[in-house]
Amino acid sequence: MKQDKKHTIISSANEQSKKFFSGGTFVWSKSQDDVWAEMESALAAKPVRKSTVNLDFAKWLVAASIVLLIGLVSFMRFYTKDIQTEAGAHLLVQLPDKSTINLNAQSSVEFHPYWWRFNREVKFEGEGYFEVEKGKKFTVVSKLGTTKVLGTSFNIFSREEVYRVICLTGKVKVTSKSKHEVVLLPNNKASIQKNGTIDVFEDIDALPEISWRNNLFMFTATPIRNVFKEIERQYGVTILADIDSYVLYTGNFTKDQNVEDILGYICPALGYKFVNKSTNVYYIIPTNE
Amino acid sequence: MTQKEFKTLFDTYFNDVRKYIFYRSGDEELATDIAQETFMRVWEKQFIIDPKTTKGLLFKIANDFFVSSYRKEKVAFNFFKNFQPAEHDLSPEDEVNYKELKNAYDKSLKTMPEKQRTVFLMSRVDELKYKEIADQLGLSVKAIEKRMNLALEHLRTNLKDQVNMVLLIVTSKLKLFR
Repeated sequence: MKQDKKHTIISSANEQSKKFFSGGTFVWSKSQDDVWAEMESALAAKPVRKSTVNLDFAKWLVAASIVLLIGLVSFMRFYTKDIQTEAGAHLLVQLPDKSTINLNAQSSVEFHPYWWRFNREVKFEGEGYFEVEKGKKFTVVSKLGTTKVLGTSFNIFSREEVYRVICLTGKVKVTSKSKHEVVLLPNNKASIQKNGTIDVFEDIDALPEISWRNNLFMFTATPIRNVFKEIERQYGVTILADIDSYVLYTGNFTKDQNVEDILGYICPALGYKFVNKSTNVYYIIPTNE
Repeated sequence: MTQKEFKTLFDTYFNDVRKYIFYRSGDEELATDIAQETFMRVWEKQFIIDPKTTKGLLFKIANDFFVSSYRKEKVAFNFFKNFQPAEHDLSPEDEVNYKELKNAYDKSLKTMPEKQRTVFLMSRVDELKYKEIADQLGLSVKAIEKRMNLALEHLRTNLKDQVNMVLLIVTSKLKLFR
């Protein structure tokens, strides 16, 4: 019986206290409105000092961020990577989007690696074989002309007064300085003339044009001066020749041959011989002298 | 925060903060002071307040003030000086019993440990769920349950001796009113 009574009291303590306290009211000597009235004057007296400081600080922060951002963007925009190849050297250049340029000897390429995602543009002189990843417009700017592509492979030769482009795959647009334009399809070749017009040759054999990548140099009815210039670039030598430019040469050489072997079979065929004057300097003279 | 927004915040939470400190200290004056200080602090610091955590943050600030300004002379916990239970139409006989019950609660609350008392009153007077109390005090629901059980145990032992009969009578009477 006693146990029962105790149990009743226990369980009722919870219920009972709920009922007892529920719905009661508080009596404060200072009402909420009194407190507010007291505070209101204090609010005005204490200007929101902290927040103005914060605002100033925020302004500085914003200004600093903007300066930093401008700095960063201009760094990205103008930071330039400049790659050049010496005479006798070949180099494979990889661009930020995995596009590649195979640079022939004595060529140079400049690009903005951190701006690459916004503008795929390179400045280029010399000779190079390009393999461009698909994507936005890819532009190659040279002294004499500009070549624009989307994603293809092509070879550019841009030296002195000569600008040649050979398209291997895809489509390539060539623009000369005087704003002449042509679009090349595979196995087309463009050559910019001195007056800025562009000659297009269709269905050419592209292989001789790009065989330099495999250290094979092929010439078909090429002015002999250009052949010697190529040899100068590939071997880092100087060749002094007094030969008329209309002399044409057809033949090929590979880079694993040494320079004297090559001169040794080019010269006799044209009725010339070579004399080694000093280290890496060769004179080409007629055989009968 | 504009003054208008601040006023809204004040109107919404001032009473809760004041009651919270009052439950802990039993000191009305202290509770009012601390609640006022708490809101002044929020205004001065211009906290950017996430509505979800507003109440918890206010309680936290009030708690910090309370801990640092805890009065050395403990004030006797006179809950019913500032709290008026709901009125019931009671017969004169029950009226007497009811007064006795009230005295018993008064006595129990005086001796109840502060932590249990705070939770107990938040549950009974403010009729908050355990989850809500836990969120506001930054405690787990388990801890609230435990404190609540201890509080009920405390009440039980204190009420038992004097008013076990009264309790039963009033309980049954009160049930009729609901």
